[in-house]
Amino acid sequence: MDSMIRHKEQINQQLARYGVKFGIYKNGAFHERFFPYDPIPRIITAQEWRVLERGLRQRVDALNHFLRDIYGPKRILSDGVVPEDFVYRSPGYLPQCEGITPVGGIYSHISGIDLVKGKDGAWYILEDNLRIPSGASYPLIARDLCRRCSPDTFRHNGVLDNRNYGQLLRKTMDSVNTGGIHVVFTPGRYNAAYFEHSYLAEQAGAVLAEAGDLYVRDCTLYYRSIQGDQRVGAIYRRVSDEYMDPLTFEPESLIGIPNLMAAYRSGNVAVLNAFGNGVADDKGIYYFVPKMIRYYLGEEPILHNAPTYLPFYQEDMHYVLEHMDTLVIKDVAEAGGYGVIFGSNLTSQALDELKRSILTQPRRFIAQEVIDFQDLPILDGEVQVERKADLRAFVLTGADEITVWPSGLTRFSRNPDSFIVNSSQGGGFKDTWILSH
Amino acid sequence: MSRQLHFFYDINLEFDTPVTEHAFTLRCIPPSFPGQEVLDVTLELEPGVPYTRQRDSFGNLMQIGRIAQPHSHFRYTVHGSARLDLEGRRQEADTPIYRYPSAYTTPSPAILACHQGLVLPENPAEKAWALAQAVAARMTYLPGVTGPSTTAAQAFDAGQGVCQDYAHLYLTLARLSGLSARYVNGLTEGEGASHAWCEVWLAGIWTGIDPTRNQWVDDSYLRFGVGRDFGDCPIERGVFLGQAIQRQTVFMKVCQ
Amino acid sequence: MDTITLSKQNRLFWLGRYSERVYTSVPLMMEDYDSLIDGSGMDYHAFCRKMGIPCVYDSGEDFCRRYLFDADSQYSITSAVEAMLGNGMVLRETITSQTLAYLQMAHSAMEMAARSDSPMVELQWVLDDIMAFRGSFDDAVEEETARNITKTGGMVERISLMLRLERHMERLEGELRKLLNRLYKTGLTPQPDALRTLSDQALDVQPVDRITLLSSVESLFYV
Repeated sequence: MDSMIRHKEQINQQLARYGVKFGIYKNGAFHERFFPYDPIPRIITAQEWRVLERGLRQRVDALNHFLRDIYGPKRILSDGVVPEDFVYRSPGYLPQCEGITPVGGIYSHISGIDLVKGKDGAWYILEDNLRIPSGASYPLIARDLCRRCSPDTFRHNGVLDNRNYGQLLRKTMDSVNTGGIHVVFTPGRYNAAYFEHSYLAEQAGAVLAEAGDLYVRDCTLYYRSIQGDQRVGAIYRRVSDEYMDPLTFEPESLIGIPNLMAAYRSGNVAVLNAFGNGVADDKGIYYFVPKMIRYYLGEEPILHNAPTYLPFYQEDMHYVLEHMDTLVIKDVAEAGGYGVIFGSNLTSQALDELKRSILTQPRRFIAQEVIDFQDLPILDGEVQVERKADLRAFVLTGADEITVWPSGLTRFSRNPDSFIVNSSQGGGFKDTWILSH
Repeated sequence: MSRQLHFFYDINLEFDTPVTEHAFTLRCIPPSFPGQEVLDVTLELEPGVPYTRQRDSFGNLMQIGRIAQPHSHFRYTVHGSARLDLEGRRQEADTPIYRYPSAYTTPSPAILACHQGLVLPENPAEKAWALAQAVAARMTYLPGVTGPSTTAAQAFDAGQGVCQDYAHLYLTLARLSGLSARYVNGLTEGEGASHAWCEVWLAGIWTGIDPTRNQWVDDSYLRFGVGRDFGDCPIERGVFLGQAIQRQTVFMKVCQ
Repeated sequence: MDTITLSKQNRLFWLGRYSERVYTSVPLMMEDYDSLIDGSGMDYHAFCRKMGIPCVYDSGEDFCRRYLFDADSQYSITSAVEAMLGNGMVLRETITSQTLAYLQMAHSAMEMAARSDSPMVELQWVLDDIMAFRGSFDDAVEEETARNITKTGGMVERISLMLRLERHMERLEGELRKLLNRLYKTGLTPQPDALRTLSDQALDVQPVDRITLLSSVESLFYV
């Protein structure tokens, strides 16, 4: 570990060499900056990992069941487990996807599940990301570079090799490919995660494509190549649903592929992740995931949600209104660390205002107990300080198996008082070690 | 009682400079369902390109294709005949999404206030009728004020609009009143342009009501597409490469 | 596995042009830096005229500094480095991360040179990194067509700069012959008139004036 710290500069130089960048928009202009890397890894023991792995597989399995059900028979609604309001009012629910079964019945192929570890030692699920979760490329390349800078550390510590993410992604794409090449679809060079798109394309042996490179003919997706058109069998798209097909969704989208939806509906191309997944990773639906696990799998949830209240339910409303100053309130319509309000930070006037909003629009908010989570050490210059950190675990679901990547993205907040670790808000990342013993 | 209708529908899109890579999705063929039997139908495209038939998630028929080569116009012509019979309609299960607001039918504070001021009967059919009266009382039919992207809220503020706006406002109010209601477009007997109206789920039957003409729908309404609002079932949607200015001419005729 | 789209073809070509532009221009500017030590410097008015760029510089020193490092000028070498990296970045899965790293390093070296009071040392690194990029590119890019497109882009740029600056004109025929041999392996479609003019010159069929040659080489490909 000391050796990792000693090699901090070298590691950062290596990261710069490989252009590990993260784009942000500030005052309307695009800036790229290096994603700050902290050399002290988060360490997860083999025993702890076994539980996490089982719990994550179980959760993602249930979420895929849910998506299949919602865009199909909707049993979970008719059985009254989830109120239909939480589905039909969710901006992520896309009725255009009704009745379409994706290849292999898989909706969320690449899932990013955010967790935190409480001071009590238990892991809590913070959020599910089933649309286009990003971040796997950073620990992936960082590990490769750290091994170069500090071989001894890895010789002596029995850390599971995480550099197989590209192969895992490839295998997942292979398992649903309908016959054709693999494509990673990017909105382009000025997207925040462009580094990741191009790096994952390279690692998975896929072709990186932008809007003009692809088109649909006879309900089949093609890649325009100078050697002639090539059929696309699987598209790992890093563009949001609403921009993907101007003839089905947002008509003004210039970064989409016209009639892609027709090719998808015909089963001629696998789309990773499927359209309409937003209905399952909505902050409001989060509350129901443990219920889904019991409902679809007949199992008790292995991993726990943070204690959550839905003002939608009368008794929860009472509790929330009375305990607002100790709760964290989340606006379900916002993402990326925005719309997260700590009751304790509000003036009494702002608190009253928020109460009024909750009373008039109960469906728009969820409230959670603030989890007292374990801080992780980071290096601030030469000094070791403690910061809030979360873990995004990546779960890959192919047609026949669910695999949890033995690593993950550990993000920490720069600001000592901040509980929000989202990278678009200026945090950094660490490697995540899963020990083999 | 049933009625046999002959229909002819002709749309020509002209581009002032040639366009390429033109991808389109049409919903210009009426489907058959209990109450509406399409006896024969022909679709002609110009330029004559092949197209694929699909059904979208709302049950509408789509014709999907692409014109790669440069072209200065895109014309599609549909003709055929259908037998309409309101008696032939059957009970169907409710579709909950038609009870929720959609992009075009999200109520504004002004619409909410208007809705709160309405005194509505309990009986769903009477309620559906009363809402049509409410729309008629607040809207004046005037083409040219609104466009295809105008929402119910905007049309309500203007107090003017065309059939699409009447339908959107009606749907907004109906959904606020707890009714399942959906958007319909199609043709009605006569000559001119296509029309839009609504269907309300009453006692298990999707019952047509035309807020623009302030009447229940009869055997003279030929249904093309349905959806939450206009955005789900436009008769034509397309994108192409090129800077062309588009001009559209429409002709339709429906007669017995 | 790789497949080349039209947009990729364009990027490969311009990657070749920009890397060559940097590789040819940096030594010129290093010479200029050196001659400024004794006070003279190059005739930058003439330089700008030949390059067809606006002469907005106050002095020899100002020209030397800003032609190299002015990020706001599209004609500066630093902008060419930026464009070189930009084209490389969108080709990662074709040229590999390994190769792209050298462009990243050339870019970082350029940034360091801009901040340095002895920029020639860092500028040498820019050249070294581009050289390493070329080696890695040759080694790592499996697709022959892709390699040929970038190399052709480089040759077009080299010939264009030769003709503009009238430097090393004795090598012109040789360079033209290399270009003509290579371009058939790229899948690019040359403009017939431009191609004829260049062939005539290369094969000594008919000598052509410099300006016509320059416009022919610039218009050889529309990519």
